[in-house]
Amino acid sequence: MGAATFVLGRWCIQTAWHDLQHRKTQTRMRILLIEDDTSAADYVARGLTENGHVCDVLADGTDGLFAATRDSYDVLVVDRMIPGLDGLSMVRALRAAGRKTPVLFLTALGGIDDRVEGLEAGGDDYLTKPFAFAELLARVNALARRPPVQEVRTVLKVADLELDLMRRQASRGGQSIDLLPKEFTLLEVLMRNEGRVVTRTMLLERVWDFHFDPKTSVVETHISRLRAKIDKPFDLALLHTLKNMGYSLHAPR
Amino acid sequence: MRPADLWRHSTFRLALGVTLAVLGALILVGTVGYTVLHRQLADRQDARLLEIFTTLQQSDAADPQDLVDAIAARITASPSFSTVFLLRAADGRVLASNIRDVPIPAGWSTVEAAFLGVQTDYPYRMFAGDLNGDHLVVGLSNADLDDLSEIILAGFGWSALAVLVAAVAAGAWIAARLQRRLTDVTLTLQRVAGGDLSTRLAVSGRGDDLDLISHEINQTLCRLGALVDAMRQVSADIAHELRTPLNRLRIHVEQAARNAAVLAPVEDDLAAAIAQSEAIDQTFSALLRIAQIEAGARREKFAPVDLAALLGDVGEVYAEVAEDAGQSLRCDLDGAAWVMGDRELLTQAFANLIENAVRHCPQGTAIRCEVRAEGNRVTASVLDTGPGIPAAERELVLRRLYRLEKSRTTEGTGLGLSLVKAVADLHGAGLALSDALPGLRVDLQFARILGAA
Repeated sequence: MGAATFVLGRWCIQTAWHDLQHRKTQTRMRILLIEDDTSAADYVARGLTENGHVCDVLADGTDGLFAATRDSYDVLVVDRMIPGLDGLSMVRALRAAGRKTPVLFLTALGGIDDRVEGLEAGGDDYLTKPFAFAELLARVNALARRPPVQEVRTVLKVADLELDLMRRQASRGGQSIDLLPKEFTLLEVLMRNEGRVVTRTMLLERVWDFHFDPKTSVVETHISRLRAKIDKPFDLALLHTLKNMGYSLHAPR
Repeated sequence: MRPADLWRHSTFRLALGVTLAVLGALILVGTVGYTVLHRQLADRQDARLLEIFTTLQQSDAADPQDLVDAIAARITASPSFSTVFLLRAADGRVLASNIRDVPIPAGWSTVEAAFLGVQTDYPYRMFAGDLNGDHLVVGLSNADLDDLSEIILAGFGWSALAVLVAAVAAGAWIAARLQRRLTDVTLTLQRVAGGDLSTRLAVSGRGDDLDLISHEINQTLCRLGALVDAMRQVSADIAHELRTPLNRLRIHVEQAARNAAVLAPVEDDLAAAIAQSEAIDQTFSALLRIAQIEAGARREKFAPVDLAALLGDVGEVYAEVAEDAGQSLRCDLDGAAWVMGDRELLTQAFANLIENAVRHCPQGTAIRCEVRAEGNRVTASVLDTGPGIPAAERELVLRRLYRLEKSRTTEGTGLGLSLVKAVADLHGAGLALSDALPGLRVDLQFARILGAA
């Protein structure tokens, strides 16, 4: 079944690739993938390479820790169940060594507490297998360019859209926009990830703190409400829907 | 119980230990008692001896012959040699005596009977002193003293033996009783190890420590049984629920492969296959999640949760979803209502209930969320004015074993409600489905906690 999923996933990534062609090329990142399932590792590495990143693959936790400590990677993608040193211990050791490289955990353990465990061990994000490659790519991109903690931005700007985080006010072209609290959070998440894809699941987690898959169109509904407020009254659309991938907020290209 | 095994039983060792302790205490008490008593008796004997000596001394003061007569009278009065005398003049002549003429030093001494030429087994206590130039020796047999000591010693011995026998008997009885109950525990646990999780330990009802332990073990067995049942249920569910979509997935992939071979388009089949694999993943995750919730480990992470605020947030998320579906969603919240719970799971449970209403009710349906805190209870309800669930089926929806049948007949809601049921059980909350006249009313009744921060 695993192989079938990856073959299908590859098809998915090709579709995603077409969408990505229209977008500015991502800055090239060095990514270390620590995963012992070779077919999964090949699939992910190939996808990341096709998206302009450099991806090293290791199958062992001890090697992974060594490489992650020695070389400077932009993002680590770590499977939790790997030989040598398990993923959690590896990341704990890495954090203890003072390395702050962003870590995305991959896991087949879909348990309720597993996500919390991963984050507590020093992970920055968490993705449960099986996953769509687009989801992984979006999360890796979001991690890599996360601004350093020291840099506190109080006003987010995309084109003529402004979001004042201190005064909790949104405006576009000088025209004030009334947003409900959750709409504000939704817009904030999208603006912080300007130009990058934010998936439906990422929005559910970050805006509503939902860690399950709703059976109704929660995200679509709220996105359409937001769009009606920030895009509809204006000429240029900033909030874009990427089919099978998610949403992206950016100025027209 | 074979004697060889006896030593390995802690109960036997305990009984033996108690017996030895009792014996030790008895020996100590006996020794101290005997020593004190013996010294007391010896002191009295010495006092009597001194009294005799002093009386004779006084009779000597009047006339020396009186003394000799007095001693002779006393010798006559003591044919069994319980009292012995020896009066020697200054020139060495023996004036009166019932013992051999032996040198006895002045003052106190103890000598053997044979030394005095007396045929008894007991030693004598002697006192000697000068009387107007004469030398007087008076002695008392230790017969009384020694006999008495022997009687006391025998008394102590017998009582020690009696106590020892009693202690051994009581120890053995207690040990046997304890051992019987421990053996019960061992046998029960052996049956459990053998796979029989329904067996329970007998509780005597006396409320003693063994009862407490038995009770704890029984509770553990209950939990274990529930866990194993849950695991069995999940395995059965997975087999049952995943085989069909797996088969469909396989059909799509095979069809795509066939199409690819003849260069026909494969996109539709592959898209269907991906959708199918996602459906499988969702079912699988839901089953695993329910199983994990039922396992109950989450309970340790409970924290105070304001149900009103939580349901208000969830309602806010879905208000626009309902609106887009041509329905309305309203929340009637009656101030803060604190319960102990898991925020994430409660959010999912209420989201499931609201989504059920949104998905299964027609346009124009009014959905209402309520939270009421009354007395020591908090009731959270989700009501709709939709078609409802027939009374006969409401029972089935909540019964775990009917989950699959239910999910099959009502396109997937079975797992959603199962999750709500699992979350409710985890929180010890009562879950009730009733008629909202018209529509469905779902009530979750929690135990209220008072004002968390």
